[in-house]
Amino acid sequence: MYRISNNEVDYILDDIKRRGVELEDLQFNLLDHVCCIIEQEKPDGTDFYKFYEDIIVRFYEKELKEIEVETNNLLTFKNYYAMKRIMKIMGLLTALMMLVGAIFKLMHWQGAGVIMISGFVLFAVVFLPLLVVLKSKDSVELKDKLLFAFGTLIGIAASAGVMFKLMHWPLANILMFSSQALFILVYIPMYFILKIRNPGEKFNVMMNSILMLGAGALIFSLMSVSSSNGIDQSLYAIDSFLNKNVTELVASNQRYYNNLDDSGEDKVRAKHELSQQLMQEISDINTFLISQVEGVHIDQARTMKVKDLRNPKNTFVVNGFSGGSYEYSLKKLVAKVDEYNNKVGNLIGKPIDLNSVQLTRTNIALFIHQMTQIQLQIAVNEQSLFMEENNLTVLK
Amino acid sequence: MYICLMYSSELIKGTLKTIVLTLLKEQGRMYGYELTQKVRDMTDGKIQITEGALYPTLHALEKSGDLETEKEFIGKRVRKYYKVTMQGSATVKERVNEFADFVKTMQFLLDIGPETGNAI
Repeated sequence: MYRISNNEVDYILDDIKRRGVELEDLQFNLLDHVCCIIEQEKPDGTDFYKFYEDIIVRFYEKELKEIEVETNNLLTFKNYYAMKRIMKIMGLLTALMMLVGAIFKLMHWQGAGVIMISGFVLFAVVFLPLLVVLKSKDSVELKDKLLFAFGTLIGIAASAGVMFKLMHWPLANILMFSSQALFILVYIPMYFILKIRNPGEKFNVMMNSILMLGAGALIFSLMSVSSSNGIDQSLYAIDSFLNKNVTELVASNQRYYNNLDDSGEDKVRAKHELSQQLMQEISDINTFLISQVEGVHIDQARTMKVKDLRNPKNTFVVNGFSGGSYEYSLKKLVAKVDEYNNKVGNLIGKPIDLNSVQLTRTNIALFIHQMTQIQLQIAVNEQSLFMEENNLTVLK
Repeated sequence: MYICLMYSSELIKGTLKTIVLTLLKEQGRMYGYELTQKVRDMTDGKIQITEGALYPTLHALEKSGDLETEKEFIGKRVRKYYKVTMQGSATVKERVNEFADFVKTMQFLLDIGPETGNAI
């Protein structure tokens, strides 16, 4: 049996390190293994270095580092089966949650949002990333891994988009539109070009591409589904009609004021001012919200009507109205209306009932429409006030 | 780079952990080189475990808690002896049972019988 010297041990260890093995445990294992082989198998009279070079190649195919890479792979994917199980359970769970959430949403039952958001979040944050990690281990080629990772990113963006849309959060359309566009214009062509070269899969690749294109187009067409154009138009028409009436009524009230003699003016001055203030308050809130929704200057927003809005369905700004700064808040409006009711509305038995309108959880077009209705009531109340002053019959 | 000589590597790839665990359970403690020699001797050289497959597997089994190690210094070098843990014993049983069941299924599936069938 050959006795290996300390110098030779050092030489082998250095060589193992030089060949890129960095794990200390693995270095010692390989060192001992090589020493054992040399001690057991080296024929007498052969050169140590020559024999070492001959046997070290038995350890690998291309380079010694392979062993370390393989070790790391095994250590990293120690939980491979656990991950796979979690992925399957998560996949089933999230699919069920989305389905149940969708049913709840359709039936307007409580908890639909919570179920759907949990479903989408788990799908995008747990299921899809696990799928990428596990799938990229299975596929050998880099291009397959990249294609898959790219597809998954689109999937995450798309599910975030759908979730945002369902929850009426901002950026939903941008997310949905861009992920759709990437899917149809980039992913499918990329998939087709990269995969069609594989002769065995030609038919499958063609069919998959066509199916994906069809599904993409279907979802894309669903994106534009909303209330019909006709209904929107009729809302704008009602709004213009109402606006005209309010304007005319305000003008006729004003003519009445102009004709009042001094004594009459004193009597109604305070009430008139309150009415004017509330009218102004409502206009200011409308203008502010329009400038927020449209991203335009206040001066430009002042001239805009519902039919001029580019985003009449925006709900986010209106929902924020209840919690925004006091200057343009629901809280201030309620206080102003209360003051008006105490000094004017209740006198003629026609207080403004804010409970009968819905100023939150609605979109900007409907919000402004309701605000105009309130303005109409103020104008009508003022007219009633004049009639009362003149001892005419007031319709109560 | 995997175990093989007579059998195709695909055939044996999935059984390396089972082989290592079973041997260590029977023999008490062994180091890497000893393991490869033992397998070679027991199978008349039909199965030879390559170093490239053995050490990654040993490290993985150690990390998962199926094996534990003892270090011994031999001159300037360190020798790691591997030993099956309590958890490892249970894993051995599980793995061997699974493999026995697999063999049975394959016998049936491929129609390997002493009298009739495909076996020579």
